[in-house]
Amino acid sequence: MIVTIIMILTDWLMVGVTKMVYSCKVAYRQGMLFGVHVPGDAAELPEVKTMIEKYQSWMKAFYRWHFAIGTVICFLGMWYMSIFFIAWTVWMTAFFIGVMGKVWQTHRHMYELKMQKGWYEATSEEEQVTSAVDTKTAARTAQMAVPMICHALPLIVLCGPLVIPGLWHAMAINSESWIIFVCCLLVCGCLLGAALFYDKMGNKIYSEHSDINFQVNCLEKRMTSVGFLASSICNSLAFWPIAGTLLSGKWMDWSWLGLYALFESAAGIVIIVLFFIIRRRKEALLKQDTAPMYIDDDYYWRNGWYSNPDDRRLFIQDRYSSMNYTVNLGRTAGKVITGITYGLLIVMMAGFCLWLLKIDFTPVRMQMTDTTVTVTSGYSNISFDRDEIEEVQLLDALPDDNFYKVNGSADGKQYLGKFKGKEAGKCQMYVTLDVTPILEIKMPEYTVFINSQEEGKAEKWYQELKQ
Amino acid sequence: MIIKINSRSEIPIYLQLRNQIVKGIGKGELEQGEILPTVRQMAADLGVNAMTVSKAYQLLKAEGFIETDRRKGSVVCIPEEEYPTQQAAFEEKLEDELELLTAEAKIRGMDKGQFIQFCQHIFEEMEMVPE
Repeated sequence: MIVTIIMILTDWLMVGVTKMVYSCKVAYRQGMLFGVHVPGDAAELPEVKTMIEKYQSWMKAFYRWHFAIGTVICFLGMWYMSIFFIAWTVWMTAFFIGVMGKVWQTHRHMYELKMQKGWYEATSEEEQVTSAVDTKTAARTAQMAVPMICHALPLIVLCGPLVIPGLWHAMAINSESWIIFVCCLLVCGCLLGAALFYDKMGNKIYSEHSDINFQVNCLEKRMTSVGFLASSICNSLAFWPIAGTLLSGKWMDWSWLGLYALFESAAGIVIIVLFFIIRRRKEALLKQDTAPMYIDDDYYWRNGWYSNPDDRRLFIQDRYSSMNYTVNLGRTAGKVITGITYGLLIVMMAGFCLWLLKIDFTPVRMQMTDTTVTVTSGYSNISFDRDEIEEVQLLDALPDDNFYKVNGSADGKQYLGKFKGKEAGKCQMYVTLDVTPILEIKMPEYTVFINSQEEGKAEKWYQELKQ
Repeated sequence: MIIKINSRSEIPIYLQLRNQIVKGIGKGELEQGEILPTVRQMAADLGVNAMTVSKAYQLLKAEGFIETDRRKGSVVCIPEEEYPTQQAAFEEKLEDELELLTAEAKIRGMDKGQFIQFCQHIFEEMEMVPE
């Protein structure tokens, strides 16, 4: 149920953000309409008006349908997780292909109209400008972003709890706390990388006035670097409740976990909020501009993506969302990066679907010899000596314990994989939840809980183990 | 100053860059002592190779339009007094280029008055060059 709610919220967020980013393309902004540089009065032309109306009505229906389908699909998660994930992957692919296809198609129509009308057609070579630099802005770039040394602060915040007496010992016993620590460290590293990436990006020209160019570029670089730093600090602070839960001896206690979730959510919210602040302030600054300057590189964007072999830059500010960066497909490295990214994405999604199918539809089996017992399932297999078994019993239900998943699957239908119970300790679960009885095999290091959807199977295993 | 580049032009980018900086100094858009962006920053903003910018800066430095300050980087400078040899070389270049332009103007039917008027108009746009 929790997974279903999380996925519904994710789908709503995805549809909402996409709608917000691509719906505003119908408004004339920064000299562009549908990502094509056109004169300000172009939007008044009948053909452009029709184009806008068609785009809006198509998108409206598209978002409405996908909002509904995306919500309904999530309920499949309450049936089989693998079926849900396959349906969700297909839905998400169709959603993005639909949105991007429509955006690119309208962009192309607008570009063709521009060519037909001869808007901004350069009459001399001097008028053709493919790139520009504002020397005053470029010379002051170093003052724009927060110094990279500040990213030492999140590292100090993250490592801070490690000096608390007893934490090292608690972490040595609990391997999962190390995984969380390493994940926090990796996120800090990624945010530092993102901050460096934005810092090294070239400045953009918006106006003939250097002051405006400096203010806008400074706003973008400073706020973005502040956002990454703040997000990194929040992420580091999220480790503090984990340290708290370890020291208090209440591992995975809801109050500590709530704090952890709060800090991790804040890390994401900070960036989203800053994105809107930057957009609002940028628009306010550009409104003051009396001499806007547009570099007409529409030719390189004519297919919807950027492809300019003469441009040395590999990553270009996206035309449809200024916070986003796209790859220059005119360069071989750009093609390779895009190919590898999409290739990996397809392989990973397909692999994940197959893995989930295996988990959901592989029956649990137990094979016994005179000396060993082997349990196989769609997730993990175990093998142990019969001599290790301390006690075997048939249960009517799982013990009344607070089990939490270490790895594997706990989708409300089955418990599969490694679990930990407050009283039972380490467990290996191979249990379909609505099937009884459950066979409990106690061993010195862990306990195995196993049952089968096949009637009488658990009883048969029990008898065989008893012999 | 805004430097505009056309990567589809037949004129090499480093030369376009050099010419625009010289024009900027002449028109007063770049002031004496003004700091120019670093080679890497200029290349990142223009989307060109750093070697291209470096080549333009080297040329400008050789011609005396910029100088390298250890702390500030590349700084605009206006050569005040030139050696007679440099002055003679420039006059020779000026004569050569003017000759070609005058010939083209004459072929296209422009009279002396019009040509001088054009020259005067462009010369007056140059605020930094004393009359």
